[in-house]
Amino acid sequence: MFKIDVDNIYGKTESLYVYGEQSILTELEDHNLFINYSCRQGHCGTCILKLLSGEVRHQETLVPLSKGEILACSSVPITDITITLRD
Amino acid sequence: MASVNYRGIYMSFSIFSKKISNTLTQPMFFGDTVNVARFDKQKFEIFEKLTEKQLSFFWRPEEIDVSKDKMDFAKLLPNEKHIFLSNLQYQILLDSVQGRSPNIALLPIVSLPELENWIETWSFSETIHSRSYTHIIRAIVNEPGAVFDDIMKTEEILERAESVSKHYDDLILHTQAFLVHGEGKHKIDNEIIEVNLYNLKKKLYMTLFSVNILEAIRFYVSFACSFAFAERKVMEGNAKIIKLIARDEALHLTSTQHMLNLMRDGKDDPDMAKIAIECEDEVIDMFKDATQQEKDWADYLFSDGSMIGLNADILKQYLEYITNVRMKALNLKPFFDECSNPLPWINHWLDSDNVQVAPQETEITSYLVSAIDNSLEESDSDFGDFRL
Repeated sequence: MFKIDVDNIYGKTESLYVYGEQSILTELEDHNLFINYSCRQGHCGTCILKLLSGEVRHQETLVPLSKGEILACSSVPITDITITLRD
Repeated sequence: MASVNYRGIYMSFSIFSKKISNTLTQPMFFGDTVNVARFDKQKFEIFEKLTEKQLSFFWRPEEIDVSKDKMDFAKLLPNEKHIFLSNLQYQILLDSVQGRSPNIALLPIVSLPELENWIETWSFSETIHSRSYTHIIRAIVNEPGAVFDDIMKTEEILERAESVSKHYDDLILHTQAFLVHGEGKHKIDNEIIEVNLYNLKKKLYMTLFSVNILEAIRFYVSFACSFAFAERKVMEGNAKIIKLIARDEALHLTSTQHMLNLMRDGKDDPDMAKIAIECEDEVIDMFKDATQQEKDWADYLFSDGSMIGLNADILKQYLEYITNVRMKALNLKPFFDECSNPLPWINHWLDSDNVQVAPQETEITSYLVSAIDNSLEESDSDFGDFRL
């Protein structure tokens, strides 16, 4: 099990406990935490988040990402992680 | 033929202009026309990435077995047949428009090779969708002709045709006048039309929104209907095809999303950033009109009765939900109340080859297989001590 620490995403700061079998986007939605998304396939960049700590397994995406940025739809946690919105 | 590039300089139109132009300094549209189709240096790499992804998704309708759907269709109740066929007819209309319009409307005015290439790939993939609908209809009804002929006889469908084609038609007419006559007042078919480049750019901007709405909202509402049948384990062949179509459409809507966001963020032609501000109300009105049309269409679909898992109300809720999603992705303020997805099962159909399942459990649906990464990085530390 992994812990996803949500750091002030639309006013919510909380911890989720997940098995790492679903994308971060799906996990957030399952826990009633709704971030912007569109394609759900890693090519639009709408669901971009900042990974403040921990590691993720990230699928290939079409969108250029800066260091520390992840697409919620294309990544699963492989350690405990902390995420927040991109500035 | 004379045309004006975005700096207002008159130049003769040619499909291969001899003007030496730096592709990295051109805007997406209305710049110097593309001559050499080169992709060694690109202003916006996202468009080539979309092209490569679309090519990797290549599929042929004939690969999908739809034989069981004939029996399923025969057993549907009359109102369910109406829902299924009307929905399919609407999808046929949308892809008929999309299979030709990006090419006709956008190729004459595009000014980046990677974007030109994407537009052609995008339009081509829509033609595969068109052929897939014939494949489905041939499989499920004895007289496929009747289904197609009906499209042009059904008022509710022709109304949709008018609304999805009007921005394209307006842009195409004014572009053609512009390319032939340049800016000014021109008499065409006994009507005077006024052509100026700034207004033409506005028409392009509004057309891109209309196209985004078509692919990001209208199509997705139709997907909900298609998948609702498959959730009941009927018309599953059709659903497999629609899943592949949805996978393509996700790329297409992303492309117009990127174009619009680049324009609005001032990363393209400075005029487009100004136009984005001037047209904000008009854009919101377009979303409002389109969603009202889709609600009226939902009433038509379910006019003879609803089906298990879907009715007009739920479809309208999904429409509001997906409209909010798409508007936020375009940095627009949604006008529908915040709502959750009333059809959570739809994501199972829309999320393709994603992180949710183990690779050995999925059917590999991408054309590119066994792609390997040849680079050696620090993480490949097993080779760190290797010496010949």
